Amino acid sequence: MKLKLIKLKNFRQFRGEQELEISSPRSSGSSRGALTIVHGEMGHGKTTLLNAFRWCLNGSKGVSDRFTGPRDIINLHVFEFGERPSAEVQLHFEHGDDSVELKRVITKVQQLSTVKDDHDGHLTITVTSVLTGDTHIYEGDNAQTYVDSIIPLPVYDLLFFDGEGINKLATKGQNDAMGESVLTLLGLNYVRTAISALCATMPALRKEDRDSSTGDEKKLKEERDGIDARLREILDKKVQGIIERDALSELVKAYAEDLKRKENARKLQEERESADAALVDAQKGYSYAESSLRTLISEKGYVLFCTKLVADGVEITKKLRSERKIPAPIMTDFIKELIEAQKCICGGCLIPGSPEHDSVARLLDVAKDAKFHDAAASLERTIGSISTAISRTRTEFSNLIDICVTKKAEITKLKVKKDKITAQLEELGDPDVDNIEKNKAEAEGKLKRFEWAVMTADREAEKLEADIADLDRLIKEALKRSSSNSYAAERVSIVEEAITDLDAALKADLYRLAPDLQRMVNESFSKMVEISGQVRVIPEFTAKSKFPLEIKINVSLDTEVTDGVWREDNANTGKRQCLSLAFISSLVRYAQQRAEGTTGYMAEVSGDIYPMVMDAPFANLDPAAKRRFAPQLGALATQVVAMLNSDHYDADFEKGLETSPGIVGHRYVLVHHYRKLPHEGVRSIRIQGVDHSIMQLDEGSSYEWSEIRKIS
Amino acid sequence: MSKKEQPKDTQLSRSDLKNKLIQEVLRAQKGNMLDEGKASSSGSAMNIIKRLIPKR
Repeated sequence: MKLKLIKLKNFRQFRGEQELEISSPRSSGSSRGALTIVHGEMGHGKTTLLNAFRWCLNGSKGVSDRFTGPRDIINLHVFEFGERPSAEVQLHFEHGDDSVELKRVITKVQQLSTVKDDHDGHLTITVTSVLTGDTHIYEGDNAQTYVDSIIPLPVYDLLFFDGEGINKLATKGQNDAMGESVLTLLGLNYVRTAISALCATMPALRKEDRDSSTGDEKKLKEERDGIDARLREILDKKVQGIIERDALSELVKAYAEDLKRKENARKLQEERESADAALVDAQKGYSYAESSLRTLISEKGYVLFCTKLVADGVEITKKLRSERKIPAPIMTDFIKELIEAQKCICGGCLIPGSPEHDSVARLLDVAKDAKFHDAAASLERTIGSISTAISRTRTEFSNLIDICVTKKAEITKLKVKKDKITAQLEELGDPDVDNIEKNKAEAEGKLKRFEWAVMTADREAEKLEADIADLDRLIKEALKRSSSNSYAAERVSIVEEAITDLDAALKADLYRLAPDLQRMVNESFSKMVEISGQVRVIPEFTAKSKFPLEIKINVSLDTEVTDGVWREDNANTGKRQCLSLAFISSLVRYAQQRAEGTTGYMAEVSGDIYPMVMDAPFANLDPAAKRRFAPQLGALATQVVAMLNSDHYDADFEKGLETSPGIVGHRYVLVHHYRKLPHEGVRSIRIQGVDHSIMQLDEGSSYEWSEIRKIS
Repeated sequence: MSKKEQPKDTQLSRSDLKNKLIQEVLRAQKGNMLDEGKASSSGSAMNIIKRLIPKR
């Protein structure tokens, strides 16, 4: 599948006719021009464009999870005001020697219909042979069957993907789906179903062969087919046994996990109890400190507001003292004694009317107001006691505040811890240990029985297969003797050989796949990201039996940490995105190698050439990683269409891209037409030194719309 | 798309017949893969077998 062009007409926000020519696929060994970049900001239509590919190929079933409102395909303006509202997407590509044009159209009537199939619109495919010029047109279901044979539904998420979620591929839990995608992309699932289809014809073919035989030959065949029927029954039982055994084995594992969880839950519960006790203590401490603080404030709080008063008081008394306006009490009494005794301290007389007497009497006047003196002394005492109270209260207040803050922080921390433990406990559930142990013992008992049944079936089957081989030999000898040329016998024998050959080819392919794919993923990933270890891909094949055949591939993407320790890489999302991209890219290249290198009948189903169309695939890379990854983008597949916003395509990315000149073929920007330009948001983007406007005003429009504008 | 089936070549060897049978069954599977009704039925495979190895 080599993409050429996608045309949109009134598809969602893309009003009118718009098209995107896709850069030609690269030739081998070069990535020149194979990359198509679509620059678009959030809400400007990147996801819509990605889904235009998917919708065209598979209708409403094909669209991605992020494509909101998948039933509203027709542009809103056209839907409301158009004469015959419809939407259309055309996809032109080459497939093998054919030039293919897909056209899917949906009308307003179909969009509004309550019939689910109507939401897929109508698909028309025009296939023109490049070699002969012959043209075939397919419509409806036939057209869809044609598309499905080129690109089956399970691989859409690998080829036309939303990059934001692509990191999920490199995590556990996606392995089964990935295994199925591997089988599909490489065409191996067709081999699997072909074997089943051929096996299903065998009973009828054998009956026909029996009925057309005579004599000993007939008897031998009847006996053989009788044994074969028993063998089928035993194999059916064996398969059922295997299913039961595997289910029970999983159940036993689950019970063991439950018990482990219970143990974890017990530890967590202990931790929660201790956190609870600590929380109660902390709350008590806090309450005590808070209540003490309240009491302190209500009883002595006023002193905290007296600081100024005290300072003023200290200042005033100091001043009065310095001015000798507040004599000491002893001085007053002493002067009184001197005046009464009419004797001065110097030995002179203090006779009333003398200047000495008057001078001393004046001193007494100053201090004669006892009330003033008491008040001054009282004020000094008060100031002193208030000052002490302030100091004490302040210390007490500060201590209590400290206790409150510490306790509060402790309480918050303990509550967070408790909530976390509670959440963990809820996640773990509260398994009932006794019941689990009982159920586990029961399951283990059953498991043993089924293991025994499978082993017995195996032994019986082995014996019956040996009997059948003996009878087959006898039948062959009888056939030789009778020189029979029965078409029925020939059918049986050729179909049997075909089944054996297909089975062998399938198994050989599957076992080759593991090392090949692992090598490719490692090469690809190490070019994108610096890693210390290796990536491993573990295909886990379960080929239960040839009749019926069941295959499961389990692919794990892990990285080696040190000393052979492997773990699921969850270092960061960006790394996992790269790991997933490396895996998809390797798979796509592997499919191409198989398509080009497989000969014989397996060439019918062996891989193909696939493009990769991705929406924002590496949002979480750091600048250095971006520079390293950028030149690899075009080499991921023969054709890559990448839709990037200015967070992805920044100076670092551009710098990285420049290290691989000519890698980009066509470039487009998604221009969004607003009825009113937003105040915020990126108005233009700079690409290779040139600014490109990505917002435009369209006041006359009833709805916003987007436009695909080619810039190179 | 599967091309129009050729009538059986009576000169085909057993090995050629087997390979042709495999090729056509694979092609049919690829073409009908997503149509579960067809994919799981033996109808298409049986028809191919009958056409390639006709009654005689």
